[in-house]
This record gives sequence, C-alpha cells and structure tokens, in this order.
Amino acid sequence: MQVTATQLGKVFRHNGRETVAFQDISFQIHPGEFFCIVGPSGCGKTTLLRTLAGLETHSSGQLEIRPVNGADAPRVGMVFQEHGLFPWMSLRNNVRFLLEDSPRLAGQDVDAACDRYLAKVGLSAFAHYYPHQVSGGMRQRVSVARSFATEPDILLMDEPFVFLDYQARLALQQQLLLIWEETRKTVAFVTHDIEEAVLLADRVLVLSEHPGRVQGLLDIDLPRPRQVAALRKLPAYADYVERIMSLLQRNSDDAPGSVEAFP
Amino acid sequence: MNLDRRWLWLSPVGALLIWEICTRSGMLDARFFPAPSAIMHHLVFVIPQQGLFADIAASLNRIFWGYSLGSALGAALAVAMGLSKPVRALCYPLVALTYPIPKIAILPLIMLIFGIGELSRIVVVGIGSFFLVLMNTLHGVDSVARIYHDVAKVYGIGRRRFIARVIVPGALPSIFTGLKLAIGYSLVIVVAAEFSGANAGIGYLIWQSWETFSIKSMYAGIFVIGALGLAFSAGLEWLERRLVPWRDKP
Repeated sequence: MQVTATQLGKVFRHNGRETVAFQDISFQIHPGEFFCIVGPSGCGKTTLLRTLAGLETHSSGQLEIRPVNGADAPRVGMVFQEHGLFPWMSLRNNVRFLLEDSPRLAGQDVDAACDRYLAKVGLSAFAHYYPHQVSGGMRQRVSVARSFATEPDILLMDEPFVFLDYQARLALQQQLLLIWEETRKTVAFVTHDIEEAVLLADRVLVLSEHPGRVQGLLDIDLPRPRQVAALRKLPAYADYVERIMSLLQRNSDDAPGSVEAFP
Repeated sequence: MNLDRRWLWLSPVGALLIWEICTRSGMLDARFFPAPSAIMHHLVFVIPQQGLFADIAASLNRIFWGYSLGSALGAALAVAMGLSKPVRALCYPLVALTYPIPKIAILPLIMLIFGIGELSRIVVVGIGSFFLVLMNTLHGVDSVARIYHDVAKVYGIGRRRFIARVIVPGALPSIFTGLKLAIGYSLVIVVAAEFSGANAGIGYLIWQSWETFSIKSMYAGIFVIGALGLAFSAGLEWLERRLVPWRDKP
C-alpha cells in the first residue's frame, strides 16, 4: 500500500466562515512502514487521518492511495480515539461483525480469525463479555484486534491510547509493537505524544499548530523488535524526542510547508 | 427508577386504606365512593358473571392490533426518516403538524373513513402508538453516535447489516421509551373510544355502569384499567432489561 499526498489541504466551511484545518501537506507512506503523524492539538492531524480513511474529502492537492499489487480496491482499517465497540455485541462479535462480509476473508474461517486476533491481544478468556463489562484498556485492545483482523492494506490509528491511563497505555503500546512486528501492516498513527511516536514509528511527520503544516520528517532508526522499557534507556531515543520537541517549538512561520529530512 | 422495592406498595395501599376508613366512617358517601373492599368483592364475585372477561378481551384485542401495528409502522418509518434525508424532508413536516393533535379528537373523522365498527377503534389506537414510537425512534436513530457510522463506513458494512445490527440496536433504548409511552396512551385511547358506540370493552363497561348508576361496576372497570397499565409497563420493563442490557452503560 502506497500513500502519496501532494500539497494536501482541507478547509471547513461553516456558516460562511472558513477554517483551515491543514494546508500544503506532502508526504509518502511506504508499504509496510509504521508512519507516525505528530502535532499539537488543533494541527488537523485527526482530520488528515480521516481524509486518508475516506471519512472527509480534501479541499486542495492530491491524495493517491494505491495497493501494491494494484489488483483490488484498497481496504482501510481504523482505530479511533474512543474504542467504537458496539455495546450490544460481545467482544467476540465486535470482531466478527467486521469480518463477516469482508471479501478479503471470503472462504476463510471467520471464527478462527476472531479467536486468533483476540488471543493476540490476550482476551480469549473475555470473548463473551460485553464492552461495558471490561476495562477501557481491554476495550481498546479489542478495537486494535478487530482492525488487524480485517487484514487491511493500511491501518489508520487516531490517538488510540489517548484516553487510557499510563499503565494501560504502556501495555497497549507494547502489544501493538508485537502485533505490528509480526504482521508488518502499513500503519499511519496519529498522536500528540512525542515519546509514543518515537517508540512506535519508522518515520515521524511533525505538523505545526493551527493550521497544520509540515514542520519536519524524521527517520527513527531504532532497532526492532522493540521493547518499550529497553528502548527508553537508549541515548538515541532521547535524542529523537529532543529533535521532535525542538521542531514543534519552532515558530510555524519559519519555514511553512518545507519538508526537512533528517539523515 | 431506582426506588427501594420494599416501599413500592406503601402509597397505593395507604391511599386505599384511607379511602376504606373514610367510607366506613361515613365521611364519604358510600353511594358515590363505595369502599375499596366492596369494589374488590364486586370485581371478583359479581361482574365476572356479567361479562367482565368479554369486556377485557374486547379491549385487549383492540390494543393488541392497534398498538403492535402502529408501533411497528412508526418504528419502520422513523428508521427510514433517520437514515434518508429525502424521506425525512418529505415526511417530517406532516408528522410534526399532525403529531400534537389529540388522537381521540379525530375519532369522528376516523369513523367517517373506516366506519363505526371495530376497525375505527383499532385505527385510533394505532395512530396514537404510531406517533409516539415514531418520534422516540427517530430521536434514537439520530442519537446513534457518529463513531458507529464511521466504523461501518470505514469497514464497508453493507446497508442492510448496518440497519439491522447498528441502527436498530443503537436506537433500541429510545424505541423502548416510545413503546412504554405508547402502551399507556393506548389504554387512554381505547377507553375513550369505547365510551361511544361500542358494545363491549372496559370503556364500555365504565360508561354503561355510570349510565345505569352501577357505581361499583364503574370503579371495578377503573381498577381493571389500572391493573392492565401496571402489568403492561412491568412486562415492557422486563423485556427491556432482557433486550437492552447495555442501557446507560459506557
């Protein structure tokens, strides 16, 4: 799955007033990479992700989403800030519902796929519980599991761990690393948490505050498989966090729209 | 409602007790306000021989057909209005205009159209249920959170499955609110509709008893209506707990 955004812009019009969500954003997401988009709140990063998902349309520029083999239409998966699980379905049926008429899984054993992905996030024993009977962290784990289970070409994640407490967030970040390093799906992950971006990403796109513009693009050259606890002790990790921090602190009118690639 | 179940009986039993004392002590005229014990005796031992069960059956039959058909049509139209802007634009103004009209006020009109027989009384009950279930279901469909629409769109859920497994369950708490309001309103309407022109039914029993000054039978009819209302809402509460276990949960 290859995503190419060229001078992408989005303007909301409401009651005759125009609000620029983001403008002049260019980047590429390569097949099989973990791509993070970092920026302060109000930089349009959620809107950008929703545009990639087809839930919003862009106002200017071009967006090209192309499956690598070029055969069938690209299929996206998305994990939202709030879990988005259906309260009237058991955890298992929440996964199953998205798989039932997925053309990609035609002929496969849907039940086996449900079990496999629930097991990956350690929730096999809770499959028959309803969302209101489990913790927020468990709900978000189901949300991650079902998005991987649909076997999308690209997985879009919109600050999926933002409402979790610190402990649960660490656990889910580690779990996400495990699943991702095993499956190597193309992922676009939005967050305002710089450390989270460095922990997870192959590359990080840094956006400026309102309206969102590209402040920089970093390669995160940290070894995989990654262990959250071990990674944080590396000097290179602190260095990346520092660099993103300084990019965010730079006034957005320094170099609007320019892309700085760090070696 | 979160009342302590141990005290639920207190106010109704207390009111009956005070009534009983007032009648027996002569503070109330027993001809107009017979003691509750006398009314119960009359209800259990006298009027069953005078066709009480036929009256109950007649009213239940009208409620059953009117309520179930009216509610089903109301819920179906509300789902269509909630999901389709053209259908909503087409139907909503007419619904909003006709909704506030007291349904019993159009009984004469309905009789003009459907005749003075059984059908008119079913139709008027049906119209009452239709509007209440429609308005509440529409609210329920509107309140299905945007994130569920987004999830369905991103993952390519087909329209029929989306309606059956997302919209209807999502609106179910509001549908139940409508169903509970409509069953109470159905009782009101069926009694009023039976006051004129009917030859059976609890409303007919109450009206007939008043006309022949059988005051105990009149009260017995009122008691039966109250008991039916209580039974219906308890049944719907039970059904709701079974079908909507996630209500008011995150």
